Amino acid sequence: MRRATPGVADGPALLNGTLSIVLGWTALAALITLAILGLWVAPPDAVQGDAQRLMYVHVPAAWLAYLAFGVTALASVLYLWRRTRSPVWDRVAGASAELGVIFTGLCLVLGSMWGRPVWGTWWEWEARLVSTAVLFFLYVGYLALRRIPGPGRAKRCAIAALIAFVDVPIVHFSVEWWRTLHQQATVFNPDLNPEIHGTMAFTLVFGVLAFTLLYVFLLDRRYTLETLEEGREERELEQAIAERTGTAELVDAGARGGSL
Amino acid sequence: MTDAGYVIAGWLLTGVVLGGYTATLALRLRRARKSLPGSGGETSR
Amino acid sequence: MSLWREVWLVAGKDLRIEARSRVVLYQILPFGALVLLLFAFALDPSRGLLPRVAPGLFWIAVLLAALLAVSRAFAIEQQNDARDGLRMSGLDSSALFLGKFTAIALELLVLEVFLGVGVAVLYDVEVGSVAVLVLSALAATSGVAATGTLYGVLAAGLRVRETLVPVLLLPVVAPVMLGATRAWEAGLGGVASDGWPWVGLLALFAALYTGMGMLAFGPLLEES
Repeated sequence: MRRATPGVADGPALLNGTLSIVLGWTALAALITLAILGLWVAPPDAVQGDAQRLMYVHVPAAWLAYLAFGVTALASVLYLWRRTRSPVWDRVAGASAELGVIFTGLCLVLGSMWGRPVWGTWWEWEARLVSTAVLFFLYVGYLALRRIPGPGRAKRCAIAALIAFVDVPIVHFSVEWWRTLHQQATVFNPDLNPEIHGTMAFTLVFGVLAFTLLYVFLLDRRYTLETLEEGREERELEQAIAERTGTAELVDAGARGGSL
Repeated sequence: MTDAGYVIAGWLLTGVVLGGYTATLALRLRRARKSLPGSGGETSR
Repeated sequence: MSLWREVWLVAGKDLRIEARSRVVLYQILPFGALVLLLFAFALDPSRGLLPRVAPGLFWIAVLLAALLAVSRAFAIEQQNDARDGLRMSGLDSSALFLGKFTAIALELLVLEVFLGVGVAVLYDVEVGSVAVLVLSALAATSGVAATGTLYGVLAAGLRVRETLVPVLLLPVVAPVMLGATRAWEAGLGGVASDGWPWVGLLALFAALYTGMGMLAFGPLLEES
């Protein structure tokens, strides 16, 4: 039987345990439904053909890439603001960033896999892809910073997250401007976000919803892991200190040539 | 590779990445819970 | 003491250290020049490519040199508990930020003058609008210096700071790289008026990150 450790509840999480389980299964069901919709029910695109079906995962991944970063930034603000300062926000920020980098990486790879049949190339220096690539590196930097332990970690990471987040619109704008000014004659016609209606539009939106459900579920799980691991670090530290002081007592007794 | 090939590969990759990450999380969570004091797993690291 | 006097105090200290140690002059500048040279090896000068890519290569060389300059600016605070000294000095943290920022920016501007001459000579470029070139360089340098000072102090107390700062800094200054290169393309034999919007973007970036730096430097210095 597990004894409750003070300060560490059994699976300290953001969501109530039952809610988390329900959410997880719902997310899975939604993703399976998305696969059915995207790979079968939705019609192939008039211009792009079947390759367009990759959009049903690429676009949601892109959405989550940015949402996750927004959550990291918001959590960072809440951590830095004295009135709401709490380790909860630090953990949320870190957890969301880990998820974010996965979605961003996925978005880039899927974009590339879409581009190959549609554009004929694995990569185009197109505004959205480039902005997302920069976002990926912003995440990587944040996660590298997060790995550095120490008492100041939360504050450091929170400030770094905000510095990076403020940059995101600037990157987006400047890259977009750059690429529209340099619209040379390219084979590149099909837009990454064409006008779409009906089943295709529905599937896209559904995909975004499904991915978001998964994100919230994973965020809760990752947050829990973070809390547990922090608790373990603390206990390991306490144990090391206790061992140290315990040994010191033994040494003292030995020096006095006597008993404990 | 045909268009369908890219589509399948992309969706499979998505499944593997998301599923794999979820599974990794579950594993890490289980390991973290085992090392909670009173759960009898402190020495098993 | 007024803010500006404090800023000048801090900047003066850093510049005096540079005047005595000459690290920027004898180490970082040659590094920048070497980068320009190596680019020529990489890109085969006989193809007439260099004049076209000169603006980009120049700014990459500057950016890489800036990484070293930022690293140096905080390395000098490593010894003799200098950071404790800064914390206890009673100086306003915004002044501390602006002081370090000014020193780094001035060092970079000196580097840019030399590297700019190097580019003009080695890559055979023609100068169009000096105004665009100078103003964009001032704005871009300010943006890089501000962001560099910010990440520099963030990483100051960390053992991994030398490998960490580049990976943090470079993505954030990507828009500066973009804007500065486009502005210099316009200023070096392109359509000069195309450059001004980019100068505006660079100025906005510089203002934003200088502002953030003034706010965040204090808390970050506390933690370092």
